[in-house]
Amino acid sequence: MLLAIVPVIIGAVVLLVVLLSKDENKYDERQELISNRSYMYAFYVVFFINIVVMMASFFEEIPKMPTIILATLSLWSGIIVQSVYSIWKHAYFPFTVKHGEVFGIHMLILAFMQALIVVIDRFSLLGGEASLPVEISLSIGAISACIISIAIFLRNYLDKRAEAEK
Amino acid sequence: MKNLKLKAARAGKDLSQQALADKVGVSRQTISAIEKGDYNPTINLCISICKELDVTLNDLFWK
Repeated sequence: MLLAIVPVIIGAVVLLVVLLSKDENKYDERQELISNRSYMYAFYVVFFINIVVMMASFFEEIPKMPTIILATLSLWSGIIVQSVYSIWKHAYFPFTVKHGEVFGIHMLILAFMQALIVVIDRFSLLGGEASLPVEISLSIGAISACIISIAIFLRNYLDKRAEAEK
Repeated sequence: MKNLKLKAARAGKDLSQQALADKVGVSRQTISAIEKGDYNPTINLCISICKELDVTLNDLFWK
């Protein structure tokens, strides 16, 4: 167990150092407004998923969803909604720093969170037996990262096309 | 409603959206959204834009 937790702790420390060493990212007032709205939508999605799963648990015929799968599903759904909405409205990247740099840090945070989920599940920290194979868990994270990347790519492509048409 | 007065004032100063955005400390998309009428700026941002374009609030943001 110690062998698996050590990389997570190292990851957390590296992440903390990277985040603390950065100057404050600068978002303008419109971006902050969009950002707040994206968090609200993400919250609604996570809330909706949890309510649906809770309702489903009242029916005996429907198999119960393991906690770790619900946690993974909620986490990534919320992140995807928040990211894609703010990317689409040009509020994902602060306007003062390089996009690649911010994207790298975000992906690092997501990878760390996914690793944390795998460790929690592997060592049954939520009780019960491990229920989510590592490959599936990591695939969910990779698919989510791909969706966010595609949204960024598409937004950039549409912006460039609009600029060319001008 | 589109803010054509802002667009005209910016063009009059020979500034691109990006140049004006850099001067007032916002993103280019924010200036674009104000010109398109998709975003209502705060009074602070309105004042900054007016100062950069040497016009009054009435000139740009009052009908």
